Amino acid sequence: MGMKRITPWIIGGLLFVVAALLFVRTATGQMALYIHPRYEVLMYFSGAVLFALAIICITMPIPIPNYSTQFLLIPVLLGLGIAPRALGADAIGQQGTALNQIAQRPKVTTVNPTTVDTTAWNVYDWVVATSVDPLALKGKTVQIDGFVVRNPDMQLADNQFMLARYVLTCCVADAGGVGMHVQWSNSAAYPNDQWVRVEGTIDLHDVAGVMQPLVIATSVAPIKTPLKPYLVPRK
Amino acid sequence: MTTMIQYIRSGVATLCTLIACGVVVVANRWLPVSADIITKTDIFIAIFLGILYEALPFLLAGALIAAAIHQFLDPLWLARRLPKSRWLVALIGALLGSVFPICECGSIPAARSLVYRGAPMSLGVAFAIAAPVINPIVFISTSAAFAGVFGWSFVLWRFGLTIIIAVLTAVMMPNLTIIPALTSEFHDHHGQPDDEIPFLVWLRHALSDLLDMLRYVIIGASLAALIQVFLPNTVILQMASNAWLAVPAAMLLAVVMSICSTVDAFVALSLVGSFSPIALMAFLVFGPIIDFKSIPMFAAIFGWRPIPQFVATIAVLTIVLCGAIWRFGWV
Repeated sequence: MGMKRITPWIIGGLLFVVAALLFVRTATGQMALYIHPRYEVLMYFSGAVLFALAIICITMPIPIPNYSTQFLLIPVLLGLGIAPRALGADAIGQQGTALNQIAQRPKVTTVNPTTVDTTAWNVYDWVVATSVDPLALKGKTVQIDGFVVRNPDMQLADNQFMLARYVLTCCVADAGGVGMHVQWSNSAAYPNDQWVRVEGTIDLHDVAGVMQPLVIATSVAPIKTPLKPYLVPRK
Repeated sequence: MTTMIQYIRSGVATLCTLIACGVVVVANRWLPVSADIITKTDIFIAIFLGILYEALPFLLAGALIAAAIHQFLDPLWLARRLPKSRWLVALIGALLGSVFPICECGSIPAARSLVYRGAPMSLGVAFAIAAPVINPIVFISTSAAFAGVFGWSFVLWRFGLTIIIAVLTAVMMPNLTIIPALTSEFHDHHGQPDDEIPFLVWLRHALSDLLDMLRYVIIGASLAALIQVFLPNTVILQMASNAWLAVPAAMLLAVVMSICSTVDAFVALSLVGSFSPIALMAFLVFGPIIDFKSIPMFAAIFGWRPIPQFVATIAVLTIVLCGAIWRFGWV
């Protein structure tokens, strides 16, 4: 029958598309939207093996499990059908009060702010450090990049917004949002998801009875979405 | 006639897949739907592809190893060398993982190959359970992540508890049987043809195992992504503040995240502030054995019937053993 001879070609073709997808997404840097950059080399390995298996599939007879075509179609359609896009302000909104949960640290890992160089710290570093000991960091200068989030649950004043980032440890499945409150006179100029660079100093304010860091901005400038929008914890 | 029905079934399934994926893609890109739906489809697709991309290298490595076992392991050689005691055989199975650097995506087809090539069932079961953790990669990642935080006893207990659970489950569930792979079929029909290049035979086995297991990984990744869309994992984290719920919450989180055992130590490290050490131990012991990817894969080799008992046995053993080492203050 015709079907018997066509199926290996379909499966081989789909495997080939997955292999190509792995190569292209990794080479263009878009793989960073799905997995930790540490594992990118493994994507080339997978692509190469899948490519070899695609050729085997087309050239040699093998028993093909039921519904292989249909299952392979799912990653192919979803992987090709939608342009890779970083999770942003709306996804942060879905986390509700769990924001910054990922940056909670036991008290023992406290930093000594007088000796630590904080100039290169990102939003995640600041959230981790201030969750341990907010008072010690008051008055420090910051320069951080992130996207703007503002939603009703966050109880922000009119001259404030949340500067947020996503942090991932291994892949998007474990990603969590972190964010800091920023105070800036012209806050309303920046809509949700706008990437900005904030410079300013750390102050503290009271949010629902808990002392939270607040960045008093001296400058806020729009920037382009970075190539690697997700932060990864430093080892 | 039966082939006709198969074609119709296959055609209907293809149509359903095209429609389902089409709806997601079209809703996400072109329809004037609410921002909420776009966000939810974004999260679903990102998590689905994230889990899949990250699982692929380990799935491929597992398929290649399973195929090598299938092709090169001599059943008689194996049968002559194994001890009689089920306990000892299970222990050997649990420790066998230390020579195969694979996660659950690879250990399950590899276990099937082992049993098919003459290994006793208890060896295969203990291997399938333990191999994702008992291997050099996981040892390196776990000690890098935790030796400095909770000390070496925490690192060693992760491996100790995994071995104990693997051996106990293998001995307590003697009625498990393995459903042979499709690979074994063409192996038997064609024998081991001398005129075929072994390297190509190996790749053919690997491809067949890959296609078999890939289906379950895709099901698992979709389920995990779907659940995270409606129940962000950070919400589960909040259950952790209750001392009694922390251990089950950590186990639930491991199932929902469905991340690979080779990398889960670093994820657990990011949870240090939210979970007690003992809850993280449960996360690191239970997660590599049971998650959305492994459950359908176990069902593929054992059949669905014993799966509830299998999952329950491992869950209870995890809770009891974690409770014990906490009670005696060993971690």
